[in-house]
Amino acid sequence: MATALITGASSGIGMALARVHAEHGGDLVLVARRRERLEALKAELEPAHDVRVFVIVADLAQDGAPRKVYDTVREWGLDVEILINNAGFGLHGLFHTQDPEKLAQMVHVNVLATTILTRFFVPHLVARGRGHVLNVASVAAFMPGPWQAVYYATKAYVLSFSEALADELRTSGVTVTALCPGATETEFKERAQMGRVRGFEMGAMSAREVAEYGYRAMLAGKRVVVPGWRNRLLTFLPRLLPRSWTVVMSRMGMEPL
Amino acid sequence: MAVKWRAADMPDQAGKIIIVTGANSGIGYETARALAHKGAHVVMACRSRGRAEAAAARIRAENPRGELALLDLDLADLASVRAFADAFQQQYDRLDVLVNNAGIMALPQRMTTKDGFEIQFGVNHLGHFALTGLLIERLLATPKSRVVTVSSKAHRFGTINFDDLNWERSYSLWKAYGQSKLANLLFTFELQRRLEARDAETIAVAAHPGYTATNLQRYMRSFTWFQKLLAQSPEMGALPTLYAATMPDVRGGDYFGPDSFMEMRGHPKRVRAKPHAYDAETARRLWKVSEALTGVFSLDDESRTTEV
Repeated sequence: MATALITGASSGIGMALARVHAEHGGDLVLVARRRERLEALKAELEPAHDVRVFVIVADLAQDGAPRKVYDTVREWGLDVEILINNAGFGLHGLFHTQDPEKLAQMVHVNVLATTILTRFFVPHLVARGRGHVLNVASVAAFMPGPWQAVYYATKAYVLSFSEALADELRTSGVTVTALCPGATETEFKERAQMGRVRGFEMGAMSAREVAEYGYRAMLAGKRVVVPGWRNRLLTFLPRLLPRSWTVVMSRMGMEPL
Repeated sequence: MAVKWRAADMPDQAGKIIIVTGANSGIGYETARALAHKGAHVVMACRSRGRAEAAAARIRAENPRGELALLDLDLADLASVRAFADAFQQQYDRLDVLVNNAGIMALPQRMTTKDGFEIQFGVNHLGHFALTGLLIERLLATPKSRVVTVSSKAHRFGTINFDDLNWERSYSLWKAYGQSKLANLLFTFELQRRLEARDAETIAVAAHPGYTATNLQRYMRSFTWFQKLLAQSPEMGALPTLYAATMPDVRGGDYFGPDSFMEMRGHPKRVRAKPHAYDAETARRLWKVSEALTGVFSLDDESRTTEV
């Protein structure tokens, strides 16, 4: 089984993806900020599945972090064949009241780190003629999102970028998959300081379900996948509704209750 | 790389401690001889004390600058490998170069080592795997140390027969030899990865002698006329090994072989193994199996953590 690098592997969908990959017998490079979490996950997975787990403690909001992650992997001589850009976070609130620093960090992690890590790792995959990129986008990618304007926009970027790249690489043997989950039981909600919103009150999927779904889709080389029928409906509606209605729909999902 | 590199072009080896396995004949003998002439302290690791002493006497008669020491090593017996490593470590506190040279080829019938391994896999690969593992602390403690493993062009048709590594179900002499020589390369490249992973100064490199007439071909009488026509002398065959063992421009993971006529003869140059020799997954699997078979924990791959 190929070696996978997963960003944001210390919790949520990233951690679940790491477990799924280890169960497939693949080695892992875990990237996240929280060392203890990663070490604990490594201690769990290595003996259980006879895999090697490498840990890179990195804050992808920092300039140059993707380069350092890539250099470290090269230094270790690891052959990363699966790149999973999962790290990301949201920030709830009205745009004109939000902390500009935090917004910049979000764009750094969600957009820049994803883009640049992909840029570093993909040439190697293309050269080998095989490999997978899994970018974790969101149902948010399909619509604008009042109360999380920047977050929704970052995910629209990830989806757009993934689809275009998937097409560019269509004959290379390298697949690019955008996984677009809806509400999921992770630390996302707390991190985004979201409070109660309809979007999450309507029920969330488990990180494990989302990870298994995304992992399978990645291996199958699918380009855009949405786990859960409710989420699929949600991402289909914008194709039918006028743009002005879509934005109201998503506002209703995100405004504080 | 200098054109027409010769043993005389080696840098001075005074003060270096170098082990050469199978140093009593063929390429091993020429390797030990050339290193001794350059001032190295060569430990000749051989199965037969008598043949080793005769070989050492012949080299000493040429008044080399360096010294020769003898230590018994039977790579077909893991207990002997352990005894060798113990004896070596008692006498020496450094190891500059370990030359994994000894080899056995194309036995008409399947034979086994003392531990029950098919003899080519057991001697050529597992014995050296265990030896390297048992000596790794000395290597790591010596600045710029090297592990040079002698492979062969035969790695090209080799595959690792994981389902039956010891050829118990079916034995084919060339498949068994090819596997053992592919294993030498997979071992070298995996060892190099593991050394890099811990930022070690020690490097792992490989060499092959091309087509060289030595005792290795003793089981292939029908090839005699072919050998006379094409094979080169052991002195030439030792050059890629010597280059790998001593030259400052050698990097971890390099592979050296002769430079002319299909890498069969000539002076050393950097060569590429077949792609399957670089397969990291096979290499890691082989490493794990070899650890299990030999019980030697060779250079743990304790996963690293780093902060960037």
